[in-house]
Amino acid sequence: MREKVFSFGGKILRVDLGSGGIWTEPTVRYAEKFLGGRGIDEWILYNEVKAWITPLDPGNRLIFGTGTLVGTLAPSATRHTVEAKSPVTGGVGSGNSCGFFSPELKFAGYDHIVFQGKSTEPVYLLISDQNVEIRNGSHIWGKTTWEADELIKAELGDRNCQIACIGPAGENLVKSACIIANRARAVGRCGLGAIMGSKNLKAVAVRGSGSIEVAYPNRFIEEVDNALEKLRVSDRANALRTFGTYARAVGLNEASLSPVRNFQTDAWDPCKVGKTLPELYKKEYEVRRQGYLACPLYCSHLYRVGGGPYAGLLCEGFEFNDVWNFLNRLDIDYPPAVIKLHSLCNQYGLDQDSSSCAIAWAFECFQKGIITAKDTDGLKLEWGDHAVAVELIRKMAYREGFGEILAEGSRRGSELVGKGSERYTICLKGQDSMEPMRAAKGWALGCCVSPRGGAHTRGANLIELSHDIIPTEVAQKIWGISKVEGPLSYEGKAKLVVYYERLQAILDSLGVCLFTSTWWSPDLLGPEEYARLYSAATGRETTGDELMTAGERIHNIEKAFNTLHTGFGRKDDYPPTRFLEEPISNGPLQGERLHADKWGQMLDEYYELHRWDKETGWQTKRSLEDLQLREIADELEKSGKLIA
Amino acid sequence: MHHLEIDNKRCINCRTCELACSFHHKKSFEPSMASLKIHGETSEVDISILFFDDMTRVERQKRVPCDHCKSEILPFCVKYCPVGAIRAQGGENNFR
Repeated sequence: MREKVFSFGGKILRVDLGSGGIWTEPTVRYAEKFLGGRGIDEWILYNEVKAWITPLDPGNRLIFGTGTLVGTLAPSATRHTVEAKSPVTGGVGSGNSCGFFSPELKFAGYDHIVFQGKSTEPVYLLISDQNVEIRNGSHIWGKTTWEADELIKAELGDRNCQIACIGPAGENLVKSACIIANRARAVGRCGLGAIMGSKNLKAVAVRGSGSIEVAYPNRFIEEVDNALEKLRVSDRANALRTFGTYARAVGLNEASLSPVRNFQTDAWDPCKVGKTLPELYKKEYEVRRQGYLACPLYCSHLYRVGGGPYAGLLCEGFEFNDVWNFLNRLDIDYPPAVIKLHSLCNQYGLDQDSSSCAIAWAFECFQKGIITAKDTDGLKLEWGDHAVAVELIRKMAYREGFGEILAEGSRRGSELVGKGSERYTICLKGQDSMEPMRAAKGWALGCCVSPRGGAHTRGANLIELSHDIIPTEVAQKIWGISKVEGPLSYEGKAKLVVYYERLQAILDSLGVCLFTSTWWSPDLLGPEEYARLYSAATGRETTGDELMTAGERIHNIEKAFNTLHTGFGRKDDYPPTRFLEEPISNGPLQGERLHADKWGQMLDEYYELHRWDKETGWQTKRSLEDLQLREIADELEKSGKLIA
Repeated sequence: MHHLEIDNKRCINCRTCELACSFHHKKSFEPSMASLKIHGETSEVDISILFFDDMTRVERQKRVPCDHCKSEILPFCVKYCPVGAIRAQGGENNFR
């Protein structure tokens, strides 16, 4: 019998891959304090993985979470989140993806799956409502994610089961290995695919036929309608519907936010921009749009390449990140190449952001003469050569030849290569970082302080780019500031970052997409709208402010996990040296860079807003106790990493 | 009685209609009992919308027949389809 808890599947599924044990526990015991999704994942991770457990140790947990609103008509509530101790940073590993996997898991009655231990043989987990089985996975080990997806569906005789799996990269413990669902939806960062590989777990396949009940159906559907109306009339939402996340590419390049040739500058050649416009992909390559459950934005698309070396390729994607990853960073201006590189990463189960960063680092080392064709198995790493990038992706996934170095990421790779190559690594907390930073200070701060080692899905904001069209009353109402300053200003940015850290924790815990929120556009959904949906769905009356407090709590769990496991502090919240020393070398913002002193002031303000210690960057006893995280305060205190 | 028109070419395979349909029937979310089903995968070009009357016996399983949302102002599959792939003949259409 499923326990009656509104808007939840009701159970947390526990799987010990070492002993073969399978059991459940009720979700409700965690729900009030940690919302759901990422919030509950983080709390379980914090409590069950201690600092002496190494990332690839069987004791590490691999935790899949859905989200409180997943499986309902709440806009875009179709995301899953995965948490584990990261093999890249040694700290919190966290990733999030769209797809049909999350609602299917909830319809099967589970809000989370917690894996522990390690199987002696390759296996996959099959969930069919209350029937859960660890199955032999030897026949799918070594296969790409697309092959594994196909083989499991054929074996089960079920085209409708939803599968999350790893490719060869995860099996080979590549540091940038990811977890793929629906062939193209990636839980990308932090090397979570390698954790799955370390447990000999190839895939999770799920079929669910149950239902999700909400506490107040009529009130809930009214709130859904209100939210959909906001999303219907927004111009920014409409841009997503037309071009997907690629919608703002040209504008970002004009704002000098394009990481050209491994960040040697941040403005791409306008001729190359002109050759790779969103309109071109829509006209030449788009076959149809692809949406996911309850999503009114349907930002994804199915592409087909008709001619050239990649003819015949049919795949979903790519996302905006790949414009940075492959076009700008590797200086490739052959339009189908980005579709090819994107699909290859998905097939091998490689995170495109981290992988492309490691490859760009190698290209620059080649350019500077630090490595030669003798080091790279005869390949000439020359900017713009997409065929070489394709080959390096393959080598990386299989750890073959030079791929062995790339598979470790640029930080460890530079230790192996030596010869000053570390100068060209762009990492945050040890993880390769894809983000341009010199021309948007708030964006940069959000990436640098992110506990998961960079990425723009914590505190980074897009709002500073729209500063000139945001009225004072809107700025006051949403972010509590009188004015949003432009991207080059350091002023007021800490407040934006803290706001988005809290909001992102809410979104990841409810299982909804950040593109429905004020992250994408100030006229979209904020904490109050999500609170109304949450209250009607769960029956727990909650305000936007209360959700934001829960968001702060969840963010603080990540922060504490890092402090205990890695000792990250203030020095780890600074940007890569290149952005402080080398200015942008072309374009309208030539000469722009980050300044350490101003960065320090912005960081002070950021710590103050969190009520953390400015000197160390660590948490304080009072801030944690106010968030009802006394257990964490006690543990930090015992380890001498808490400020009174 | 609402008469429904289907345009498979518009369908984006999101399956939101299945979710909406179940809410009409049960006031909860349970796509496996919906009166319609999307055929097609994320990697496939052709997607089709299949209603109860056109399903095989196996496909019907625990599903309930479509009642054309006669109690609703607009059929739920029409109202919540983000792209207008299902339309109510002669009536208002979806959010778009």
